[in-house]
Parts: sequence; C-alpha cells; structure tokens
Amino acid sequence: MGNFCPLDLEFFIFEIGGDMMVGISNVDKFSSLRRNLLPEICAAIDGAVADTKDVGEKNRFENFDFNNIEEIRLRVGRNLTIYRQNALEKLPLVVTKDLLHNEMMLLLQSSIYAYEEQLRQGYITVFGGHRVGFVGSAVVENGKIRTLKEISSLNIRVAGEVKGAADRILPFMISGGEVMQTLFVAAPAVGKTTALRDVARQLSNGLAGVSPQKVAIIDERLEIAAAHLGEPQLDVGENGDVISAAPKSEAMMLCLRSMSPQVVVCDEIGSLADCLALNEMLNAGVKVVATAHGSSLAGVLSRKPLGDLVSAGFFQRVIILGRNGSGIFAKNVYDGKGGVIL
Amino acid sequence: MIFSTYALGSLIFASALIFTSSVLVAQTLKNSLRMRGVELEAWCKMLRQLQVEISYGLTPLPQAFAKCNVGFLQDFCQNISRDLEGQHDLPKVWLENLAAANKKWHLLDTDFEILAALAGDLGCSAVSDQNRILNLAIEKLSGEQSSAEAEFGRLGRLIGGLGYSAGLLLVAICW
Repeated sequence: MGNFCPLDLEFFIFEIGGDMMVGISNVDKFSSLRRNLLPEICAAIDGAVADTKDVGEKNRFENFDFNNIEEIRLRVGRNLTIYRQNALEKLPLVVTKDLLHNEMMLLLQSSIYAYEEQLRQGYITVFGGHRVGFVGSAVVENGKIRTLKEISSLNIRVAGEVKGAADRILPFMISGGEVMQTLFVAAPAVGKTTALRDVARQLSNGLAGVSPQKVAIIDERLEIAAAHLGEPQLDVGENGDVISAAPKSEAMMLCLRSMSPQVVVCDEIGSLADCLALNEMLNAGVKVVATAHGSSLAGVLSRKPLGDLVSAGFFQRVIILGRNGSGIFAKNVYDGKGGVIL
Repeated sequence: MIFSTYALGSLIFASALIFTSSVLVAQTLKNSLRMRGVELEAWCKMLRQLQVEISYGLTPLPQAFAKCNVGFLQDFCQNISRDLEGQHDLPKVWLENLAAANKKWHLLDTDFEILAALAGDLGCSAVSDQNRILNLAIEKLSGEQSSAEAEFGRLGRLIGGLGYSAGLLLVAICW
C-alpha cells in the first residue's frame, strides 16, 4: 500500500474519471484534482498504511478497487470510509481534527468567506464537479444558520456524470422533432439529476431528429453543471448556458431575458415562485425540462403548487424514473392529461 | 611648490569626499524616514484592494492576492498567491513572505506586528468579519503612516540640514 500515494492516486482519480467524468478526462485536470483535493488525505493514508504491520491489510490495499467510488467520508475520530453503490469500505486511517481542518482549508482555498453562502448550505462544489458536504456546529443568527464551525464530518461525493444516462428516456420526451415540456419524477438517489444533465447535454448538442437547442441550465445547487470558478465541470453540451447558485425562479427569468433559450433545464422544482417562473417560460414559448421528488404521479399531484401545474397540463410528459443494473429508465410515462403512455 | 599644489589638491578632494559622504548619510536617513510613510501608504492601498476583492468579489485569497498590484508590494502579493496554490497554511505563508520581504522595507517592528497579526485572521471567517479585521489593520497602519509623515516633516529637514552642517564642520576641521 506504500504505493497508494502519490502514484496510484492519479490512477485512482483517473479511474473515477474514466468511469464517470469522461467530459473532463485530461491529465492536467486530474493531476490538479489530486494536488488540490486529496493530498492531505493521501499523505495520511500513506503514512497509516506504512505503519500497518498486518500483511493481509497491506495486501488488501495493494489490490484496492478504485472503481465505482461514490463517496469518501471523513469523520473525526473514526476511520476514513469509502462508499460504493452497495458497500462501504473502511481505510486504516483514523481521521483527526487537524487532518479534517487542513483538508477543509485546502478545499476552501484558505478563504472561508468566499464559500460563506455554500457553507451555510452545508456543501461546496470543488474542481471536477465533486461536492463536499460539511457538518459541524452551526452559528445561528436571527434563527438562520450563518455558517458552520468546528466541522466534524466531511463527505466528498464523487461527481457522477454518466453520459448516455438519458438514452432510454429521451424518446418519450421528443415528438415531431420538438422537445416537450417534461417533468422527471423520482425518489432521491435514483438519478434525476444525472438524467437531467444528460438530457441537457444531448439536446444542446443535438440528436437524431432534433437540431441543437439553446439550453439554459438553472443550477441553483451546483449539481447539474457543477460550475467551479465559473467553469462548468461537467459536460453540458455545445449550446448549454449555465446560471449557477441563483434562486431558480430568479435565474429562470434572467435567462429568459438575457439568453433567449429554447429549452430551460431545472432541477427540483416545487415552490410557488418556481411554478410562476415556469408559467412565464410557457408564455415565452420556451420548453422546460424539470425534475421533482416523488415516486408516483399521484404523489406529485397531491403537492401544491406543483400538483396544480401538472394537473393543469403544463407538462406534456411526466416521466417516473427508475434505476436498475443497466441504468436509469422510464418506469411510467404520462401525457399532460394524465393519460398513461407507458 | 609641486608638493604643496598636490597636497592642496588632495585636501580639496578629501574635503569634497567628506562633505558628500556626510550629505549622503543624511539623505539616506531622511529617505528611510520618508520611505516608511510611503510603504505604509502602499500597504493601506493594498489591504483596501484585498478588502474589495474579499467583500465584493468573494475572490479566494490566492486569486485575490494575484490581483493586488500596488507598486512595490506587487511581488510580495504574487509570491503569496503562488505559495498558496495547493497550500492550506496561510499563516505560515504570510509570515514567511513578510519576514523575507521585510528586510527590504523600512517598516518598524510596530508596523510589522500589525501586518503579522493578520496571519491568523485572513481568510478564516465570514465576509463581515474579514471587513472588520481589514478595517482595523488599515486604521492602525494609517495611524502609523500619519505619525511617520509627521516624523518625516519634523526630522527630515533637520537631518538634511545636519548632513550639510556636519559635512561643513568636518571640512573645516580638516582645514
């Protein structure tokens, strides 16, 4: 395991990239990611493994599988844990407060103020589109979380861009070369955002029977394009414009005024302001592809004000997503009047 | 006769040398007094620039320092920016660069302490706190700058005059 760092880390990152971050798979970006994101952790793991006298443990890490990592978790006083789709693995490194602090300051570029708003939300998006979540003691001002201090756990969610994730969904949302107003509905972790990102990319690049569309991506939580310092870290296609970290309703109106989009892509709608902004999109002839939490059409219809929008026929397609071993698929598809298509 | 002409020439040359040296020493002292004020003024400007980057641009420190381009502090800022890439230990980077650069500056220990105190606070808190910290440092440095300028006004001419007087006195003694 002495060779975990630094050499294999590049391999590690490359493997993650090879699988999930095809859009930015070049050596510069990966080496930068290695340099910027994980050096503290790697050095610590390297030291911990070197100290291990257990031969079996060393062998285990020499044959460590770097594929399919979804999350890396650091919790003070506990072992560093790697989560895969259906499994977790503990590394022989007990995370100290100093290690966590150093890792955090590295991720924040020694500039807590620059990430104040994101810290308030509990996460930041870093180079490569990876999302780093924090929890710790909250500093509360006027009943709202002002910032977090004494961070006790850190969760690095490895960016999960899957090109082609929407291949099995797109046929249901295109008719006569036109994109239909579409709502994706799924429970958390099914892959709504992954599917939405791929829809944005494919529409923006153009696909069989559909010319390239000007796609505006409303990325309030930096999950779709994962912009870092203004640059989308995930592939959103040739004609994709991203507005990040702004409230969805405001961002939609801004895009409508400034970017004249043909398609607006928006994650997790639900509030009244979102629904009003979507109505404005409809009036302007802009197609909307959005997502919402839920597991069935009935569940969505019962939620106001989104349910009202759906029952009024705003969306021409409501697609309930599912996920199996071969990826994301359309479990049920409804037309704007509640008629079952699939 | 030749000898006395040579001796006279040497004496005149030595007198000129003594006078010039005395004046130069005085001018160096005077310049040192003046430079402290100039440097403190540049520091205030630089910290204000940093404050703008922090409070309006929310620019992370490595990039914020890269954008600071106040005269002789430009190299200092660029070095910090470069050292902070891939580094998390701002206090160490800040103090190391301050110590390295301070040898070339004319700041006093009190000025240096104000700047060194920023090490523990820069980048470590929310925007409003950063503003407070930088405002305090700027206020203190401005105070030091005012006193440096007053000191220069008071002592500058005196030192300059003393340089000329001392030069003349030494020449007179030589003669």
